[in-house]
Amino acid sequence: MSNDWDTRLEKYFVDRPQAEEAIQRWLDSPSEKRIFSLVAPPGNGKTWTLRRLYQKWGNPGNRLVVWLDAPVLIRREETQDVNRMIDAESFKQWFDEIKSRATQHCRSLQPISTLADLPAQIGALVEMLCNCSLPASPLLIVDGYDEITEKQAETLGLRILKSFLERECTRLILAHRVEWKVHGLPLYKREVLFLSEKAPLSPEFALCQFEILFKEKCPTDPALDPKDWMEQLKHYRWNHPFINHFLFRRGLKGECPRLLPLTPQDFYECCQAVIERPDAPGGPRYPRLTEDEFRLLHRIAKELGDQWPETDCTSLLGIPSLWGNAHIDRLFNAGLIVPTTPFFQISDGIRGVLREIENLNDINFGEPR
Amino acid sequence: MDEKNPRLRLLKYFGLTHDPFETPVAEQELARVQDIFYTYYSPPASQEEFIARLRAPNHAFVFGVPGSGKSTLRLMVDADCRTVMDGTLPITYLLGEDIQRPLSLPEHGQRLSQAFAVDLTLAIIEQFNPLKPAPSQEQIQALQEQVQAGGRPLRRLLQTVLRKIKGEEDIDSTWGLSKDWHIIGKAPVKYVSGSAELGELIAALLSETTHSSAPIGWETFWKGLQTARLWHFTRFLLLVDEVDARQRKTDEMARLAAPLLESLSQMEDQQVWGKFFLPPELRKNIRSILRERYSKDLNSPPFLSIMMKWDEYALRQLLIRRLRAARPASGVPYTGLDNLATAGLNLDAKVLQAAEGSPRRLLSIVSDLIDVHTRRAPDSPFLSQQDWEGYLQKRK
Repeated sequence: MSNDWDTRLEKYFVDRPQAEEAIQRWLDSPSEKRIFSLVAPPGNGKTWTLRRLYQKWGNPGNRLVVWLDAPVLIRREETQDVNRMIDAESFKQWFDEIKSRATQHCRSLQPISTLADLPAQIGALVEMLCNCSLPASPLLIVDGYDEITEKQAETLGLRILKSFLERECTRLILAHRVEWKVHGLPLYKREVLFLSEKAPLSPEFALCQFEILFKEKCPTDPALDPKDWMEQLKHYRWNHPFINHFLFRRGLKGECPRLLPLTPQDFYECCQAVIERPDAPGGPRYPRLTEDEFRLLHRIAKELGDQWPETDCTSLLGIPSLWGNAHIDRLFNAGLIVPTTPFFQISDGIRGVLREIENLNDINFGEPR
Repeated sequence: MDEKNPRLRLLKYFGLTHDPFETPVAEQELARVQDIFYTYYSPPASQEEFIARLRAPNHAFVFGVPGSGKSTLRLMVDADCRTVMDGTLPITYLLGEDIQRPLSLPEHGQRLSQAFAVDLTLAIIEQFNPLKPAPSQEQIQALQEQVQAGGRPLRRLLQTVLRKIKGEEDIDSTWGLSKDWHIIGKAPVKYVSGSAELGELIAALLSETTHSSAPIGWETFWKGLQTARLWHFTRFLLLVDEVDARQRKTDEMARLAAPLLESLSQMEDQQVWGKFFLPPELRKNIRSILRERYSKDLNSPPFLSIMMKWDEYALRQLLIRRLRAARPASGVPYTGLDNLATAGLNLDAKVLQAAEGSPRRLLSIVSDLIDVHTRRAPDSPFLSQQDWEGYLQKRK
């Protein structure tokens, strides 16, 4: 795992026991659904939850658990030639790591020739593992699945994930956004967990996050109760771990142990930070919104309800359809607008933050401060 | 360049990469949209575990009216067995339009052994891994006999595959060798790579060293099972479909399937499990054969019967699944036909009601609706009340 944004924020993570229990139950049960989709909007804690479980399962280690950062294994600049999409060097490193960990679980593993193609190498390893009478199913966790293109996801599915699933003893967890299709694996049944429904975040969760941040910033000061400061926000429900972290940090920017009031500029930059937060290789997940795009999103958040039918939005914006509109497509691709069939909504967390901005004239749309 | 075909132009306007309503018949779709056929699968909601039940060791009878998704389900079971390798070999046995009269038991044996040889060879190629020990001479010789039984299409496929492995023709970058499975009427389910070791095996299978003069029949089939065991297959699913092709009468269909039903206990001894995809009018005939021959009912183990039924929710999911399969991940996904229609038309509700529980009818309605719309050269690309009325008129 690389030193990305999620790694840097890991210490501010607070656990989500309901979600973890549900995933653990699935993993322990003899389910026909060997794929588990952990579904949540961007920044909602998919990676954090899985990393926590990865560490738990890998230690003391009666289960072989393998982590795969899709954007690390895939050459993201290669969008057409499927033969070049998987980075050979990254695959080698990743596969060597798996082989070395696998030998700790299965002593009878034979060396695997690297001359054959990737599916054959994975197939050979998985077959040996499944013949090894392991006490628990080997598990592959794929993160960042929705940060690669459709074609790249299909290639990953056909060349790597499918080979891993070919034997019945294996399990796979995919973390992705609700609207993201799972490519190349249509034949497999999936268990789906909607993170924000199964393990919704409470103000208590936010208070735990604040406590960690406060101790870090003001180690010598007595504990501070931020409830009054938090309640100044009328719309945001403190239900998004990334946004909580961003806003607490802004509040704690002044002298200890004071909390600064949050400004429209803070809310604007918070939205951009959710979009731009770096992925595993360190690049921004999505390009920041233009001023026009941000204004459009803000208008939808302010003037429509939490969930809205397509027609309400098209009437508001005076456009014939949501489909084919470049701005809407961009908002959608960045996970800011999500379908909740038959309605749509601005993703949880972002919607509340946008509504905190009363007047867009208070915002400097230039570089972040 | 502007698309000249108005139907394709319309679909392109809505951001669809292909026409997901082109044909409502599974086999035709398989031939046209090979690569994405399996992404279309959307089971009736109440019977989500269909595939698991059909993969179990039982003789199953799936009943459904034409267009209720029997063939799609059969194709899914076949693909599932080819994807999750647990030693199960699916054998597709079609009693299609080319059969003009009910077949005798020996005639079934001849056809079945050919179908078996094709599916066994395909499965061995799909599962071939150059990193495993090379096949033994005994395995290769036994498979050579099966290739002979498989007939000309199988040999053609093997020759094509061999040319690709030798580099004489390009291998498809997405699906590998399996892109050519259409030669034997199958769709690719996984990426199949062409290693030198696989090339050696195929060359050996195509060599003219052995020639059996024995007629192809049940003996070939039973021998084929032994060959399959040599290649580590332990269970066999016999997928029998298209009994209701050619608009056969009930009695004719019953007589066509009867020899197979008579052989079930013999098959069972060899771990061959029949999975029959049949029209509902055969239910009575099947029941009476089972009672008479095995003193069992349709749902007494080892028999299982399933009736295909679609509710409105399941049909809606099917529509959404198709629209999503045809739309790239970028951009807003469609949640139904209403997204392609003028505001307030409630096209989803209209179409679902008119489908009367039949997925094939549903797909035909949408296809007709698009045709009605494009033929009248409308000002707006959105489907409208006028299109719906035009469709109703056409249906009358």
